[in-house]
Amino acid sequence: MKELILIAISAIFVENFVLSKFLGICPFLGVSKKTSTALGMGGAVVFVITLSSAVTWAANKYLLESYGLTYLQTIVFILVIAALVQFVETVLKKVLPTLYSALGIYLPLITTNCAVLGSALLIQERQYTLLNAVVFGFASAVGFTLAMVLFSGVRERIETSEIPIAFQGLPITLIAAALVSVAFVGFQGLFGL
Amino acid sequence: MWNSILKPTLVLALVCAVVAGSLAFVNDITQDIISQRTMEEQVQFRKEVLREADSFVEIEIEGASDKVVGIYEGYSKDILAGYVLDVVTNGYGGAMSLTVGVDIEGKVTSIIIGDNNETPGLGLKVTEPEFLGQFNEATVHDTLTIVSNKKAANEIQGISGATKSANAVVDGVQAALDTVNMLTGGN
Amino acid sequence: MTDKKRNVFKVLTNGFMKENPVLKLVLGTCPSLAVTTMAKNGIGMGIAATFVLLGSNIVISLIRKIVPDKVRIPVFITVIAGFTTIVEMLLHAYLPDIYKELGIYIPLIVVNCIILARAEMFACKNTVGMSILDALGMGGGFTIALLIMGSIREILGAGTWFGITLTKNLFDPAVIMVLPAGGFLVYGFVVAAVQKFSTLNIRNKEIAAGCGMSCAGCVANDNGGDKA
Repeated sequence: MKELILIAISAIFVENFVLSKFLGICPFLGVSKKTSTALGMGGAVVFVITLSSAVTWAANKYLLESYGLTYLQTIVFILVIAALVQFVETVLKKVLPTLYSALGIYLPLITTNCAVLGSALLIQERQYTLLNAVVFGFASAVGFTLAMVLFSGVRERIETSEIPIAFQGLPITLIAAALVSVAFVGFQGLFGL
Repeated sequence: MWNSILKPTLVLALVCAVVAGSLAFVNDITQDIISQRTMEEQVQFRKEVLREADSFVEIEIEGASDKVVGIYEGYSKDILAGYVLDVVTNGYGGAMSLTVGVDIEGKVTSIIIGDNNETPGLGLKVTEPEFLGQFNEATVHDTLTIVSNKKAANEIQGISGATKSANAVVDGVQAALDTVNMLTGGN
Repeated sequence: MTDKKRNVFKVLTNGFMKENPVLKLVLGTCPSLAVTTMAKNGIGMGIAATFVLLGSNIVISLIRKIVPDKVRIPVFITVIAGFTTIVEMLLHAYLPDIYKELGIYIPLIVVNCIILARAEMFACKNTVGMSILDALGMGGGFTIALLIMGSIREILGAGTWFGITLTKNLFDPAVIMVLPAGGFLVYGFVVAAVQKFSTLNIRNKEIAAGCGMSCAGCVANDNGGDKA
């Protein structure tokens, strides 16, 4: 249990996907303009990463490793993720239309979100057990959402500020992201053991 | 039917098959090179940490820390000269590989940090001689501790901003020392 | 002939400045930030991605006519993943140092939006020759952007350039530059500099504002197309 809590907290804060591992920067910059869209995207990512952690873990263990095909890892993972996203979309549409209407438009964007493939690869690299993998995936996605929601607050302030022309748009957003990232460096010593 | 289902399926299956086939081919070529290189690197590391030894024999013992992934006896002209241990420990950026040499008297001879993902400028400082050299006085009987001002052989001066990386090295070396201690029965 | 030559030149140079994938189109941001702690890694990632881009552009422009629209994206992704894995294996075998430094960011080339975007926007509409030029131009632009960021971060953050110590007695390196925060910071300033010195200032601003979405956005459009 202690191990799981450690994995979760360090995935959310210490090795935050966006702010310390640079995974999922595109959606981080793209959909963090408003807190509501950030939450929607975050929800969809949590959903997909948690599922894909379990599925890719199983695919790796029972397909790739048992047949000595680990060199096909990247290709299998990305196809599994793409299929999974499609599957989640179809099922949600039928079973939970309300949730679908909230998350639906973000789902297709997730296949090329490197956070999803990144978490799947990290899980295999660290040789987590299934439970650890799911907890890691879930927590990483929560960390991603947290960073986006926090950052959307910062961006809403930027919108109303006066900024030199050269810095308008992307540059000021990146510099603000740098400052948020500095805040997360503070978590680095959290598990000094 | 042909255009809506069969053809797309067929094309996709064909592309997957071709890609998988070419990957198998490249994998075939590179695999040997990779494993040979890894082996050479490990042999090189063993020689570097235990310079007295000229040949190494892998041994297995029960009950060693699960951080220790490989134990080798080093021989100098058929006389046991010491031990080399491959250790995997948990650094700031994930797994960190250490190769630790321990001489026949139970003293650390040298340490090499192999694969790791530590932060350049911070955590990566643990790979520098200034840090690793501190272990050279430690023996199998010691319990290593991190301090801010090194006074004794079992005390290791930490690196500010790299607590977790330094801890990882200390943990790994400790695991190696404990294993050798168990192996030699404390002598 | 001159028209054609000019066209060739345009395709080749497009990626370097006018449509630099990192600095103008804001594609492939993840590796741009993650691996640029050192100039050497920036170049390594740039060349690896260029290789994948070249391979996927060639193959996709060759098979573009026989791939049905319905499975276009899965086929593209499979081809890209194939080349990525080949690069990964080759690096592991022949350049183990770079392989270790780049780590999981090598397999992540698969989801580097530059590559899928060029497959969608260029290779599936153009001939093999043009697709090769496009790949070289875009890959070159990507590599140069990564080299610039890697150099700035390495010099300021570690006081070295390609491992050579430069600033020994000048100043103490600011470690923050090689930390994640420094990545965002340097990227922000480099893009600001590009915007400042760009003659197409106003147009760029529009791209920059809408661009964060573009990588995700292009895929969204594709999926829409799939269903249609």
